[in-house]
Amino acid sequence: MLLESGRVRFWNHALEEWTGISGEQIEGRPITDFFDKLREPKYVRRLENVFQRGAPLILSSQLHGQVIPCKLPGGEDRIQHVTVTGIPAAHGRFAALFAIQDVTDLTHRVRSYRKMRDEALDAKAELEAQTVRLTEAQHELERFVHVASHDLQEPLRALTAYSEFLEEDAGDALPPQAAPHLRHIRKEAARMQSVILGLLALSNATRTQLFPVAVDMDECLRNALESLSGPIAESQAQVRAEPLPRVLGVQSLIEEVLEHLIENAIKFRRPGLAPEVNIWCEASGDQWTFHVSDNGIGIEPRYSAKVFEPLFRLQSRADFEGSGVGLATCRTIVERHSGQIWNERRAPPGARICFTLPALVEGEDESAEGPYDYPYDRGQSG
Amino acid sequence: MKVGDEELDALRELMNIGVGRAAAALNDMIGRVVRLNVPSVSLIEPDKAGAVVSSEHGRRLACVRLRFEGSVHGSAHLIFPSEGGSKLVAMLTGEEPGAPDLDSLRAGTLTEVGNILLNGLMGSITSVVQGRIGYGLPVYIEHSAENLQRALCAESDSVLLLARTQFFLCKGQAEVGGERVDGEITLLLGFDSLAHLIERVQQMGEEALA
Repeated sequence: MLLESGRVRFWNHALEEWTGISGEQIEGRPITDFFDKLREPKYVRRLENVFQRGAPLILSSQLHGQVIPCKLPGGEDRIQHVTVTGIPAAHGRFAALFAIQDVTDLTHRVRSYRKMRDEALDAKAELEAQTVRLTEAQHELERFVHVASHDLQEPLRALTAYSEFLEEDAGDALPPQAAPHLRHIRKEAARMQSVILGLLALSNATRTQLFPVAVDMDECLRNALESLSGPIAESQAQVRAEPLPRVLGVQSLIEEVLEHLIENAIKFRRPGLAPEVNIWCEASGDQWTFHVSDNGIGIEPRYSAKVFEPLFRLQSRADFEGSGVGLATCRTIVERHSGQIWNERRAPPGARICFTLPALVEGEDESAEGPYDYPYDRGQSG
Repeated sequence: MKVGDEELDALRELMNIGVGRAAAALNDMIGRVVRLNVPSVSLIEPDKAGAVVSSEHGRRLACVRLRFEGSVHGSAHLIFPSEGGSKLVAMLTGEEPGAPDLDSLRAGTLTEVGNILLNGLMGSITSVVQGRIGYGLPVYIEHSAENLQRALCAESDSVLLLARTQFFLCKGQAEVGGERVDGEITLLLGFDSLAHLIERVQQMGEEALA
Protein backbone atom coordinates (compact mmCIF):
# COMPACT_ATOMS: atom_id res chain seq x y z
CA MET A 1 0.00 0.00 0.00
CA LEU A 2 1.29 3.41 -0.97
CA LEU A 3 0.44 6.66 0.76
CA GLU A 4 -0.09 9.88 -1.13
CA SER A 5 3.31 10.99 0.10
CA GLY A 6 4.86 8.20 -1.90
CA ARG A 7 5.88 6.27 1.18
CA VAL A 8 5.20 2.58 1.52
CA ARG A 9 2.59 1.83 4.15
CA PHE A 10 2.58 -1.95 3.76
CA TRP A 11 4.79 -4.48 1.90
CA ASN A 12 3.54 -8.07 1.91
CA HIS A 13 5.38 -11.35 2.08
CA ALA A 14 5.03 -12.08 -1.64
CA LEU A 15 6.77 -8.82 -2.54
CA GLU A 16 9.49 -9.60 0.00
CA GLU A 17 10.12 -12.86 -1.84
CA TRP A 18 9.94 -11.34 -5.31
CA THR A 19 12.17 -8.34 -4.60
CA GLY A 20 14.40 -9.53 -1.79
CA ILE A 21 13.43 -6.35 0.05
CA SER A 22 11.90 -6.90 3.46
CA GLY A 23 8.96 -4.98 4.87
CA GLU A 24 11.23 -3.60 7.56
CA GLN A 25 13.57 -2.12 4.95
CA ILE A 26 10.93 -0.45 2.80
CA GLU A 27 7.91 0.38 4.93
CA GLY A 28 7.86 4.06 5.83
CA ARG A 29 10.27 4.98 3.03
CA PRO A 30 9.52 6.51 -0.39
CA ILE A 31 9.04 3.72 -2.89
CA THR A 32 11.07 5.66 -5.43
CA ASP A 33 14.14 5.12 -3.22
CA PHE A 34 13.96 1.51 -4.40
CA PHE A 35 12.14 1.61 -7.72
CA ASP A 36 12.76 4.42 -10.19
CA LYS A 37 9.96 3.45 -12.50
CA LEU A 38 7.26 5.02 -10.34
CA ARG A 39 9.00 8.40 -10.66
CA GLU A 40 7.96 8.57 -14.30
CA PRO A 41 5.37 11.32 -14.93
CA LYS A 42 2.94 8.93 -16.57
CA TYR A 43 2.65 6.91 -13.34
CA VAL A 44 2.70 9.97 -11.10
CA ARG A 45 -0.21 11.55 -12.99
CA ARG A 46 -2.29 8.41 -13.00
CA LEU A 47 -1.63 7.69 -9.33
CA GLU A 48 -2.78 11.22 -8.57
CA ASN A 49 -6.29 10.15 -9.68
CA VAL A 50 -6.19 7.40 -7.10
CA PHE A 51 -5.02 9.63 -4.28
CA GLN A 52 -7.43 12.43 -5.17
CA ARG A 53 -10.64 10.63 -6.17
CA GLY A 54 -10.08 6.99 -5.23
CA ALA A 55 -10.51 6.04 -8.91
CA PRO A 56 -9.13 2.59 -9.77
CA LEU A 57 -6.01 2.17 -11.89
CA ILE A 58 -5.06 -0.69 -14.20
CA LEU A 59 -1.50 -1.20 -15.44
CA SER A 60 -1.55 -4.00 -18.01
CA SER A 61 1.37 -6.33 -18.66
CA GLN A 62 1.44 -5.64 -22.41
CA LEU A 63 1.91 -1.89 -21.96
CA HIS A 64 4.08 -1.85 -18.82
CA GLY A 65 5.79 -5.21 -18.48
CA GLN A 66 6.82 -4.70 -14.86
CA VAL A 67 5.80 -2.02 -12.38
CA ILE A 68 7.90 -3.37 -9.50
CA PRO A 69 10.96 -4.66 -11.37
CA CYS A 70 11.94 -8.10 -10.12
CA LYS A 71 13.20 -11.37 -11.48
CA LEU A 72 12.02 -14.95 -11.44
CA PRO A 73 14.41 -17.53 -9.92
CA GLY A 74 15.68 -18.33 -13.43
CA GLY A 75 16.63 -14.71 -14.04
CA GLU A 76 13.71 -13.86 -16.33
CA ASP A 77 11.73 -10.66 -15.70
CA ARG A 78 8.55 -11.20 -13.72
CA ILE A 79 5.77 -9.89 -15.98
CA GLN A 80 3.00 -8.16 -14.00
CA HIS A 81 -0.63 -7.06 -14.29
CA VAL A 82 -1.37 -4.44 -11.64
CA THR A 83 -4.69 -3.24 -10.20
CA VAL A 84 -4.67 -0.25 -7.86
CA THR A 85 -7.67 0.69 -5.76
CA GLY A 86 -8.23 3.72 -3.57
CA ILE A 87 -8.48 3.14 0.18
CA PRO A 88 -10.07 6.04 2.08
CA ALA A 89 -7.49 7.99 4.03
CA ALA A 90 -7.51 11.26 5.96
CA HIS A 91 -9.11 14.51 4.75
CA GLY A 92 -11.18 12.89 2.02
CA ARG A 93 -8.12 11.62 0.17
CA PHE A 94 -7.09 8.07 -0.56
CA ALA A 95 -4.17 5.68 -0.26
CA ALA A 96 -3.31 3.35 -3.13
CA LEU A 97 -3.58 -0.40 -2.60
CA PHE A 98 -1.53 -2.27 -5.24
CA ALA A 99 -2.53 -5.82 -6.20
CA ILE A 100 0.30 -7.17 -8.37
CA GLN A 101 -0.36 -10.35 -10.34
CA ASP A 102 2.49 -12.41 -11.82
CA VAL A 103 1.38 -13.16 -15.40
CA THR A 104 4.73 -14.43 -16.71
CA ASP A 105 3.51 -17.97 -17.24
CA LEU A 106 0.23 -16.78 -18.72
CA THR A 107 2.13 -14.51 -21.10
CA HIS A 108 4.30 -17.36 -22.36
CA ARG A 109 1.30 -19.63 -22.82
CA VAL A 110 -0.65 -16.99 -24.71
CA ARG A 111 2.32 -16.27 -26.95
CA SER A 112 2.79 -19.99 -27.64
CA TYR A 113 -0.90 -20.33 -28.42
CA ARG A 114 -0.76 -17.33 -30.76
CA LYS A 115 2.24 -18.81 -32.56
CA MET A 116 0.53 -22.18 -32.94
CA ARG A 117 -2.69 -20.58 -34.06
CA ASP A 118 -0.95 -18.37 -36.62
CA GLU A 119 1.00 -21.33 -37.97
CA ALA A 120 -2.18 -23.39 -38.20
CA LEU A 121 -3.99 -20.55 -40.00
CA ASP A 122 -1.07 -20.14 -42.41
CA ALA A 123 -1.01 -23.89 -43.06
CA LYS A 124 -4.76 -23.89 -43.63
CA ALA A 125 -4.50 -20.97 -46.05
CA GLU A 126 -1.68 -22.69 -47.93
CA LEU A 127 -3.66 -25.94 -48.06
CA GLU A 128 -6.69 -24.13 -49.42
CA ALA A 129 -4.56 -22.39 -52.02
CA GLN A 130 -2.98 -25.71 -52.98
CA THR A 131 -6.38 -27.34 -53.24
CA VAL A 132 -7.54 -24.57 -55.56
CA ARG A 133 -4.40 -24.97 -57.69
CA LEU A 134 -4.78 -28.75 -57.78
CA THR A 135 -8.44 -28.53 -58.68
CA GLU A 136 -7.68 -26.10 -61.49
CA ALA A 137 -4.85 -28.30 -62.72
CA GLN A 138 -7.10 -31.34 -62.64
CA HIS A 139 -9.82 -29.54 -64.59
CA GLU A 140 -7.24 -28.45 -67.12
CA LEU A 141 -5.91 -31.98 -67.47
CA GLU A 142 -9.37 -33.45 -67.96
CA ARG A 143 -10.23 -30.86 -70.52
CA PHE A 144 -6.97 -31.62 -72.32
CA VAL A 145 -7.54 -35.39 -72.26
CA HIS A 146 -11.04 -34.98 -73.58
CA VAL A 147 -10.13 -32.57 -76.36
CA ALA A 148 -6.98 -34.48 -77.34
CA SER A 149 -8.87 -37.78 -77.42
CA HIS A 150 -11.50 -36.32 -79.69
CA ASP A 151 -8.94 -34.66 -81.93
CA LEU A 152 -6.83 -37.80 -82.29
CA GLN A 153 -9.68 -40.01 -83.49
CA GLU A 154 -10.14 -38.33 -86.84
CA PRO A 155 -6.54 -38.84 -88.04
CA LEU A 156 -6.69 -42.44 -86.85
CA ARG A 157 -9.83 -43.11 -88.83
CA ALA A 158 -8.12 -41.57 -91.87
CA LEU A 159 -5.04 -43.75 -91.32
CA THR A 160 -7.13 -46.93 -91.17
CA ALA A 161 -9.29 -45.96 -94.13
CA TYR A 162 -6.43 -44.99 -96.45
CA SER A 163 -4.42 -48.09 -95.63
CA GLU A 164 -7.48 -50.11 -96.72
CA PHE A 165 -7.87 -47.99 -99.88
CA LEU A 166 -4.21 -48.53 -100.67
CA GLU A 167 -4.55 -52.30 -100.30
CA GLU A 168 -7.73 -52.37 -102.41
CA ASP A 169 -6.56 -49.95 -105.13
CA ALA A 170 -2.96 -51.10 -105.49
CA GLY A 171 -3.90 -54.81 -105.17
CA ASP A 172 -1.33 -57.02 -106.97
CA ALA A 173 0.86 -54.00 -107.70
CA LEU A 174 2.01 -54.01 -104.07
CA PRO A 175 5.08 -56.06 -103.19
CA PRO A 176 4.26 -59.24 -101.19
CA GLN A 177 5.54 -57.86 -97.89
CA ALA A 178 3.36 -54.72 -98.23
CA ALA A 179 0.05 -56.37 -97.30
CA PRO A 180 1.19 -57.59 -93.84
CA HIS A 181 2.66 -54.13 -93.21
CA LEU A 182 -0.64 -52.48 -94.07
CA ARG A 183 -2.52 -54.94 -91.84
CA HIS A 184 -0.07 -54.16 -89.05
CA ILE A 185 -0.70 -50.42 -89.56
CA ARG A 186 -4.46 -51.00 -89.25
CA LYS A 187 -3.99 -53.19 -86.20
CA GLU A 188 -1.87 -50.55 -84.41
CA ALA A 189 -4.35 -47.81 -85.41
CA ALA A 190 -7.16 -49.92 -83.94
CA ARG A 191 -5.16 -50.39 -80.75
CA MET A 192 -4.53 -46.67 -80.50
CA GLN A 193 -8.23 -46.03 -81.02
CA SER A 194 -9.01 -48.48 -78.24
CA VAL A 195 -6.67 -46.59 -75.90
CA ILE A 196 -8.19 -43.25 -76.90
CA LEU A 197 -11.72 -44.55 -76.37
CA GLY A 198 -10.62 -45.90 -73.01
CA LEU A 199 -9.18 -42.51 -72.05
CA LEU A 200 -12.35 -40.82 -73.24
CA ALA A 201 -14.41 -43.18 -71.12
CA LEU A 202 -12.18 -42.43 -68.12
CA SER A 203 -12.47 -38.73 -68.78
CA ASN A 204 -16.25 -38.97 -69.05
CA ALA A 205 -16.43 -41.01 -65.86
CA THR A 206 -14.62 -38.16 -64.10
CA ARG A 207 -16.60 -35.35 -65.64
CA THR A 208 -20.14 -36.63 -65.81
CA GLN A 209 -22.51 -34.92 -63.43
CA LEU A 210 -23.96 -37.29 -60.89
CA PHE A 211 -27.67 -37.45 -60.21
CA PRO A 212 -27.88 -40.57 -58.07
CA VAL A 213 -31.11 -42.50 -58.06
CA ALA A 214 -32.16 -45.98 -56.99
CA VAL A 215 -30.38 -48.47 -59.24
CA ASP A 216 -31.32 -52.14 -59.62
CA MET A 217 -28.01 -54.04 -59.75
CA ASP A 218 -29.69 -57.08 -61.31
CA GLU A 219 -30.78 -54.89 -64.21
CA CYS A 220 -27.28 -53.41 -64.49
CA LEU A 221 -25.88 -56.94 -64.69
CA ARG A 222 -28.38 -57.96 -67.34
CA ASN A 223 -27.47 -54.94 -69.47
CA ALA A 224 -23.75 -55.54 -69.03
CA LEU A 225 -24.12 -59.20 -70.05
CA GLU A 226 -26.14 -58.18 -73.10
CA SER A 227 -23.33 -55.80 -74.18
CA LEU A 228 -20.84 -58.66 -73.76
CA SER A 229 -22.97 -61.32 -75.44
CA GLY A 230 -20.45 -61.69 -78.27
CA PRO A 231 -17.33 -62.31 -76.14
CA ILE A 232 -19.36 -64.49 -73.74
CA ALA A 233 -20.55 -66.73 -76.54
CA GLU A 234 -17.13 -66.84 -78.23
CA SER A 235 -15.32 -67.84 -75.00
CA GLN A 236 -18.19 -70.04 -73.75
CA ALA A 237 -17.99 -68.12 -70.49
CA GLN A 238 -20.28 -69.02 -67.56
CA VAL A 239 -21.49 -66.05 -65.51
CA ARG A 240 -23.28 -66.90 -62.25
CA ALA A 241 -24.74 -64.27 -59.94
CA GLU A 242 -26.72 -64.23 -56.71
CA PRO A 243 -29.69 -61.88 -56.49
CA LEU A 244 -28.29 -58.38 -56.21
CA PRO A 245 -29.72 -55.45 -54.24
CA ARG A 246 -30.67 -51.91 -55.15
CA VAL A 247 -28.09 -49.18 -54.59
CA LEU A 248 -27.90 -45.41 -54.85
CA GLY A 249 -26.00 -44.34 -57.94
CA VAL A 250 -25.93 -43.66 -61.67
CA GLN A 251 -27.06 -46.71 -63.64
CA SER A 252 -25.02 -46.22 -66.80
CA LEU A 253 -21.80 -45.77 -64.84
CA ILE A 254 -22.43 -48.81 -62.65
CA GLU A 255 -23.19 -50.89 -65.76
CA GLU A 256 -19.85 -49.73 -67.12
CA VAL A 257 -18.10 -51.06 -64.00
CA LEU A 258 -19.73 -54.48 -64.29
CA GLU A 259 -19.03 -54.59 -68.02
CA HIS A 260 -15.31 -53.87 -67.54
CA LEU A 261 -14.93 -56.42 -64.73
CA ILE A 262 -16.72 -59.23 -66.59
CA GLU A 263 -14.89 -58.35 -69.81
CA ASN A 264 -11.56 -58.61 -67.96
CA ALA A 265 -12.58 -61.95 -66.45
CA ILE A 266 -13.31 -63.25 -69.97
CA LYS A 267 -10.21 -61.69 -71.55
CA PHE A 268 -7.66 -62.76 -68.97
CA ARG A 269 -8.68 -66.43 -68.98
CA ARG A 270 -6.36 -69.42 -68.77
CA PRO A 271 -5.56 -71.04 -72.10
CA GLY A 272 -7.88 -73.94 -72.77
CA LEU A 273 -10.19 -73.13 -69.84
CA ALA A 274 -13.61 -71.60 -70.31
CA PRO A 275 -14.00 -68.52 -68.10
CA GLU A 276 -16.20 -68.84 -65.01
CA VAL A 277 -17.36 -65.64 -63.39
CA ASN A 278 -19.15 -65.49 -60.03
CA ILE A 279 -20.84 -62.38 -58.70
CA TRP A 280 -22.24 -61.95 -55.20
CA CYS A 281 -22.60 -59.29 -52.55
CA GLU A 282 -22.77 -58.73 -48.82
CA ALA A 283 -24.10 -55.91 -46.67
CA SER A 284 -21.55 -53.80 -44.78
CA GLY A 285 -23.09 -50.96 -42.79
CA ASP A 286 -24.61 -48.40 -45.12
CA GLN A 287 -22.94 -49.95 -48.14
CA TRP A 288 -23.00 -53.09 -50.26
CA THR A 289 -19.77 -54.90 -51.08
CA PHE A 290 -19.83 -56.61 -54.47
CA HIS A 291 -17.46 -59.42 -55.44
CA VAL A 292 -16.59 -60.36 -59.03
CA SER A 293 -14.34 -63.43 -59.08
CA ASP A 294 -13.06 -65.53 -61.97
CA ASN A 295 -10.89 -68.57 -62.69
CA GLY A 296 -8.46 -66.71 -64.94
CA ILE A 297 -4.77 -65.90 -64.74
CA GLY A 298 -5.21 -63.69 -61.66
CA ILE A 299 -3.33 -60.60 -60.49
CA GLU A 300 -0.03 -60.81 -58.65
CA PRO A 301 -0.48 -59.38 -55.16
CA ARG A 302 2.35 -56.89 -55.63
CA TYR A 303 0.40 -55.28 -58.48
CA SER A 304 -2.88 -55.13 -56.58
CA ALA A 305 -2.85 -51.34 -56.36
CA LYS A 306 -1.10 -50.53 -59.64
CA VAL A 307 -3.66 -52.37 -61.79
CA PHE A 308 -6.11 -49.56 -61.03
CA GLU A 309 -3.79 -46.91 -62.52
CA PRO A 310 -4.53 -45.64 -66.05
CA LEU A 311 -2.58 -47.37 -68.85
CA PHE A 312 -0.91 -49.84 -66.48
CA ARG A 313 -0.76 -53.27 -68.13
CA LEU A 314 0.08 -56.43 -66.25
CA GLN A 315 0.22 -58.60 -69.38
CA SER A 316 1.89 -57.90 -72.70
CA ARG A 317 -0.15 -56.53 -75.52
CA ALA A 318 0.86 -59.45 -77.65
CA ASP A 319 -0.90 -61.86 -75.28
CA PHE A 320 -3.92 -59.78 -74.35
CA GLU A 321 -5.55 -56.89 -76.16
CA GLY A 322 -6.88 -53.90 -74.27
CA SER A 323 -6.54 -50.16 -73.62
CA GLY A 324 -5.22 -50.47 -70.07
CA VAL A 325 -7.76 -48.03 -68.64
CA GLY A 326 -10.67 -50.36 -67.77
CA LEU A 327 -9.86 -50.82 -64.09
CA ALA A 328 -8.86 -47.14 -63.77
CA THR A 329 -12.31 -46.23 -65.11
CA CYS A 330 -13.93 -48.61 -62.62
CA ARG A 331 -12.03 -46.99 -59.78
CA THR A 332 -13.04 -43.49 -60.86
CA ILE A 333 -16.70 -44.48 -61.08
CA VAL A 334 -16.76 -46.34 -57.76
CA GLU A 335 -14.93 -43.53 -55.93
CA ARG A 336 -17.34 -40.96 -57.31
CA HIS A 337 -20.06 -43.07 -55.71
CA SER A 338 -18.16 -42.72 -52.39
CA GLY A 339 -17.12 -46.35 -52.66
CA GLN A 340 -13.88 -48.29 -52.78
CA ILE A 341 -12.53 -50.88 -55.18
CA TRP A 342 -9.71 -53.34 -54.63
CA ASN A 343 -8.18 -56.61 -55.72
CA GLU A 344 -8.87 -59.20 -53.02
CA ARG A 345 -5.43 -60.68 -52.37
CA ARG A 346 -6.71 -63.64 -50.45
CA ALA A 347 -8.70 -64.89 -53.41
CA PRO A 348 -7.92 -68.40 -54.78
CA PRO A 349 -6.30 -68.71 -58.24
CA GLY A 350 -7.99 -66.23 -60.52
CA ALA A 351 -8.84 -62.67 -59.62
CA ARG A 352 -11.47 -61.29 -57.30
CA ILE A 353 -12.27 -57.61 -57.67
CA CYS A 354 -14.40 -56.16 -54.89
CA PHE A 355 -16.13 -52.82 -54.83
CA THR A 356 -18.60 -50.99 -52.59
CA LEU A 357 -21.59 -48.84 -53.43
CA PRO A 358 -24.00 -46.92 -51.15
CA ALA A 359 -27.00 -48.94 -50.03
CA LEU A 360 -30.45 -47.65 -50.74
CA VAL A 361 -32.55 -47.51 -47.61
CA GLU A 362 -36.03 -48.74 -48.49
CA GLY A 363 -38.71 -46.16 -47.93
CA GLU A 364 -36.22 -43.34 -48.33
CA ASP A 365 -36.55 -40.80 -51.14
CA GLU A 366 -35.21 -42.61 -54.19
CA SER A 367 -33.34 -39.73 -55.72
CA ALA A 368 -30.74 -37.60 -54.09
CA GLU A 369 -28.79 -34.46 -54.81
CA GLY A 370 -25.55 -35.59 -56.29
CA PRO A 371 -22.06 -34.26 -55.77
CA TYR A 372 -21.58 -31.99 -58.75
CA ASP A 373 -18.09 -32.74 -59.99
CA TYR A 374 -16.55 -31.00 -62.98
CA PRO A 375 -19.65 -30.70 -65.15
CA TYR A 376 -18.62 -31.05 -68.77
CA ASP A 377 -21.85 -30.95 -70.73
CA ARG A 378 -25.11 -30.44 -68.95
CA GLY A 379 -26.84 -32.47 -71.68
CA GLN A 380 -24.60 -35.46 -71.05
CA SER A 381 -25.75 -37.85 -68.34
CA GLY A 382 -24.43 -41.00 -66.91
CA MET B 1 -36.62 16.97 -17.11
CA LYS B 2 -36.05 18.53 -20.49
CA VAL B 3 -33.03 17.37 -22.44
CA GLY B 4 -32.74 19.35 -25.63
CA ASP B 5 -29.98 19.81 -28.16
CA GLU B 6 -28.30 22.45 -26.01
CA GLU B 7 -28.02 20.06 -23.08
CA LEU B 8 -26.76 17.25 -25.32
CA ASP B 9 -24.14 19.58 -26.78
CA ALA B 10 -23.02 20.48 -23.28
CA LEU B 11 -22.80 16.80 -22.36
CA ARG B 12 -20.80 16.14 -25.52
CA GLU B 13 -18.37 18.90 -24.58
CA LEU B 14 -18.06 17.42 -21.10
CA MET B 15 -17.26 14.03 -22.57
CA ASN B 16 -14.77 15.51 -25.01
CA ILE B 17 -12.95 17.16 -22.12
CA GLY B 18 -12.86 13.84 -20.31
CA VAL B 19 -11.61 11.83 -23.28
CA GLY B 20 -9.13 14.59 -24.05
CA ARG B 21 -7.52 13.92 -20.67
CA ALA B 22 -7.58 10.22 -21.47
CA ALA B 23 -5.83 10.87 -24.78
CA ALA B 24 -3.06 12.72 -22.93
CA ALA B 25 -2.62 9.74 -20.59
CA LEU B 26 -2.45 7.35 -23.56
CA ASN B 27 0.08 9.65 -25.27
CA ASP B 28 2.25 9.46 -22.15
CA MET B 29 2.10 5.70 -22.07
CA ILE B 30 2.89 4.76 -25.61
CA GLY B 31 4.87 7.71 -26.89
CA ARG B 32 2.63 8.26 -29.90
CA VAL B 33 0.06 10.93 -30.52
CA VAL B 34 -3.40 9.63 -29.67
CA ARG B 35 -6.44 11.71 -30.45
CA LEU B 36 -9.85 10.88 -29.09
CA ASN B 37 -12.97 12.50 -30.37
CA VAL B 38 -16.63 12.27 -29.39
CA PRO B 39 -18.48 13.56 -32.45
CA SER B 40 -21.99 12.85 -31.19
CA VAL B 41 -23.94 12.04 -28.06
CA SER B 42 -27.49 10.73 -27.83
CA LEU B 43 -29.88 9.85 -25.04
CA ILE B 44 -31.59 6.47 -25.32
CA GLU B 45 -33.91 4.46 -23.16
CA PRO B 46 -32.09 1.24 -22.18
CA ASP B 47 -34.66 -1.04 -23.80
CA LYS B 48 -33.90 0.64 -27.12
CA ALA B 49 -30.12 0.45 -26.67
CA GLY B 50 -29.87 -3.03 -28.13
CA ALA B 51 -30.98 -1.90 -31.56
CA VAL B 52 -28.17 0.65 -31.67
CA VAL B 53 -25.52 -1.65 -30.20
CA SER B 54 -26.46 -4.66 -32.33
CA SER B 55 -26.79 -2.80 -35.58
CA GLU B 56 -23.61 -0.84 -35.09
CA HIS B 57 -21.32 -3.54 -33.82
CA GLY B 58 -22.28 -6.92 -35.25
CA ARG B 59 -22.33 -10.00 -33.09
CA ARG B 60 -19.42 -10.06 -30.65
CA LEU B 61 -18.51 -7.09 -28.46
CA ALA B 62 -15.66 -6.34 -26.08
CA CYS B 63 -16.74 -4.19 -23.13
CA VAL B 64 -14.98 -2.57 -20.17
CA ARG B 65 -17.42 -1.62 -17.43
CA LEU B 66 -16.90 0.72 -14.48
CA ARG B 67 -19.60 1.00 -11.85
CA PHE B 68 -19.87 4.08 -9.68
CA GLU B 69 -22.10 5.45 -6.94
CA GLY B 70 -22.39 8.54 -4.80
CA SER B 71 -23.55 11.96 -6.00
CA VAL B 72 -24.28 10.22 -9.31
CA HIS B 73 -24.75 6.50 -9.72
CA GLY B 74 -24.70 4.11 -12.63
CA SER B 75 -22.10 2.49 -14.82
CA ALA B 76 -19.86 3.54 -17.66
CA HIS B 77 -18.92 1.22 -20.53
CA LEU B 78 -16.36 1.31 -23.26
CA ILE B 79 -17.58 -0.92 -26.09
CA PHE B 80 -15.78 -2.18 -29.19
CA PRO B 81 -16.51 -4.90 -31.69
CA SER B 82 -14.03 -7.67 -30.81
CA GLU B 83 -12.08 -7.09 -34.01
CA GLY B 84 -11.90 -3.35 -33.33
CA GLY B 85 -10.69 -3.94 -29.79
CA SER B 86 -8.01 -6.31 -31.03
CA LYS B 87 -6.93 -3.78 -33.65
CA LEU B 88 -6.75 -1.00 -31.06
CA VAL B 89 -4.58 -3.13 -28.77
CA ALA B 90 -2.30 -3.99 -31.69
CA MET B 91 -2.04 -0.27 -32.55
CA LEU B 92 -1.12 0.62 -28.96
CA THR B 93 1.35 -2.21 -28.37
CA GLY B 94 2.88 -2.17 -31.84
CA GLU B 95 2.42 -5.94 -32.24
CA GLU B 96 1.23 -7.60 -35.45
CA PRO B 97 -2.58 -7.73 -35.43
CA GLY B 98 -2.68 -11.44 -36.32
CA ALA B 99 -6.01 -13.14 -35.72
CA PRO B 100 -8.71 -10.75 -34.40
CA ASP B 101 -9.49 -12.63 -31.18
CA LEU B 102 -8.98 -10.95 -27.82
CA ASP B 103 -6.92 -13.31 -25.70
CA SER B 104 -6.37 -12.66 -21.99
CA LEU B 105 -3.31 -10.45 -22.54
CA ARG B 106 -5.10 -8.25 -25.01
CA ALA B 107 -8.16 -8.18 -22.77
CA GLY B 108 -5.91 -6.88 -19.97
CA THR B 109 -4.63 -4.11 -22.22
CA LEU B 110 -8.12 -3.17 -23.33
CA THR B 111 -9.16 -3.05 -19.67
CA GLU B 112 -6.43 -0.50 -19.05
CA VAL B 113 -7.57 1.55 -22.04
CA GLY B 114 -11.10 1.44 -20.65
CA ASN B 115 -9.79 2.42 -17.24
CA ILE B 116 -8.00 5.46 -18.66
CA LEU B 117 -10.93 6.55 -20.80
CA LEU B 118 -13.65 6.03 -18.24
CA ASN B 119 -11.55 7.61 -15.48
CA GLY B 120 -11.07 10.64 -17.73
CA LEU B 121 -14.79 10.81 -18.34
CA MET B 122 -15.69 10.39 -14.68
CA GLY B 123 -13.11 13.02 -13.82
CA SER B 124 -15.02 15.47 -16.00
CA ILE B 125 -18.34 14.49 -14.49
CA THR B 126 -17.00 14.69 -10.95
CA SER B 127 -15.74 18.23 -11.58
CA VAL B 128 -19.29 19.21 -12.61
CA VAL B 129 -21.46 17.42 -10.06
CA GLN B 130 -18.96 17.78 -7.19
CA GLY B 131 -19.61 15.54 -4.22
CA ARG B 132 -18.05 12.12 -3.70
CA ILE B 133 -18.21 9.21 -6.10
CA GLY B 134 -17.06 5.69 -5.22
CA TYR B 135 -15.86 3.28 -7.91
CA GLY B 136 -15.84 -0.43 -8.53
CA LEU B 137 -12.97 -2.07 -10.37
CA PRO B 138 -13.02 -1.92 -14.17
CA VAL B 139 -14.24 -5.25 -15.46
CA TYR B 140 -13.62 -6.73 -18.91
CA ILE B 141 -16.55 -8.59 -20.44
CA GLU B 142 -16.95 -10.13 -23.86
CA HIS B 143 -20.60 -10.27 -24.87
CA SER B 144 -22.80 -10.99 -27.76
CA ALA B 145 -24.70 -7.84 -28.69
CA GLU B 146 -27.90 -9.50 -27.46
CA ASN B 147 -26.44 -10.18 -23.99
CA LEU B 148 -25.09 -6.67 -23.72
CA GLN B 149 -28.50 -5.30 -24.56
CA ARG B 150 -30.01 -7.51 -21.89
CA ALA B 151 -27.50 -6.23 -19.32
CA LEU B 152 -28.26 -2.61 -20.20
CA CYS B 153 -32.02 -3.14 -20.17
CA ALA B 154 -31.84 -4.64 -16.67
CA GLU B 155 -31.48 -1.14 -15.20
CA SER B 156 -35.10 -0.13 -15.61
CA ASP B 157 -34.90 3.22 -13.80
CA SER B 158 -32.00 4.46 -15.89
CA VAL B 159 -31.26 6.23 -19.10
CA LEU B 160 -28.41 5.58 -21.52
CA LEU B 161 -26.06 8.26 -22.75
CA LEU B 162 -24.47 6.93 -25.92
CA ALA B 163 -21.31 8.61 -27.17
CA ARG B 164 -19.65 7.62 -30.44
CA THR B 165 -15.89 7.66 -29.84
CA GLN B 166 -13.14 7.77 -32.42
CA PHE B 167 -9.59 6.70 -31.60
CA PHE B 168 -6.92 8.11 -33.89
CA LEU B 169 -3.45 6.73 -33.45
CA CYS B 170 -0.84 8.75 -35.27
CA LYS B 171 2.58 7.59 -36.40
CA GLY B 172 5.16 8.51 -33.78
CA GLN B 173 4.81 12.13 -32.74
CA ALA B 174 3.32 13.25 -36.06
CA GLU B 175 -0.12 14.68 -35.68
CA VAL B 176 -1.49 13.70 -39.06
CA GLY B 177 -1.99 10.36 -40.74
CA GLY B 178 -2.26 7.10 -38.78
CA GLU B 179 -5.07 4.70 -38.08
CA ARG B 180 -8.53 4.90 -36.62
CA VAL B 181 -10.70 2.61 -34.53
CA ASP B 182 -14.29 3.45 -33.62
CA GLY B 183 -15.95 2.48 -30.38
CA GLU B 184 -18.68 3.66 -28.07
CA ILE B 185 -18.83 4.98 -24.56
CA THR B 186 -22.13 4.48 -22.84
CA LEU B 187 -23.10 5.99 -19.53
CA LEU B 188 -25.98 4.27 -17.82
CA LEU B 189 -27.27 6.83 -15.33
CA GLY B 190 -30.16 6.71 -12.93
CA PHE B 191 -32.84 9.24 -13.86
CA ASP B 192 -32.05 11.29 -10.78
CA SER B 193 -28.32 11.22 -11.56
CA LEU B 194 -28.93 12.43 -15.09
CA ALA B 195 -31.22 15.14 -13.79
CA HIS B 196 -28.57 16.25 -11.32
CA LEU B 197 -25.88 16.27 -14.03
CA ILE B 198 -28.04 18.26 -16.47
CA GLU B 199 -28.96 20.70 -13.74
CA ARG B 200 -25.31 21.28 -12.86
CA VAL B 201 -24.35 21.66 -16.54
CA GLN B 202 -27.10 24.25 -16.99
CA GLN B 203 -26.03 26.10 -13.85
CA MET B 204 -22.44 26.21 -15.04
CA GLY B 205 -23.61 27.52 -18.39
CA GLU B 206 -25.57 30.30 -16.70
CA GLU B 207 -22.63 31.16 -14.44
CA ALA B 208 -20.36 31.38 -17.46
CA LEU B 209 -22.74 33.77 -19.21
CA ALA B 210 -23.24 35.92 -16.14
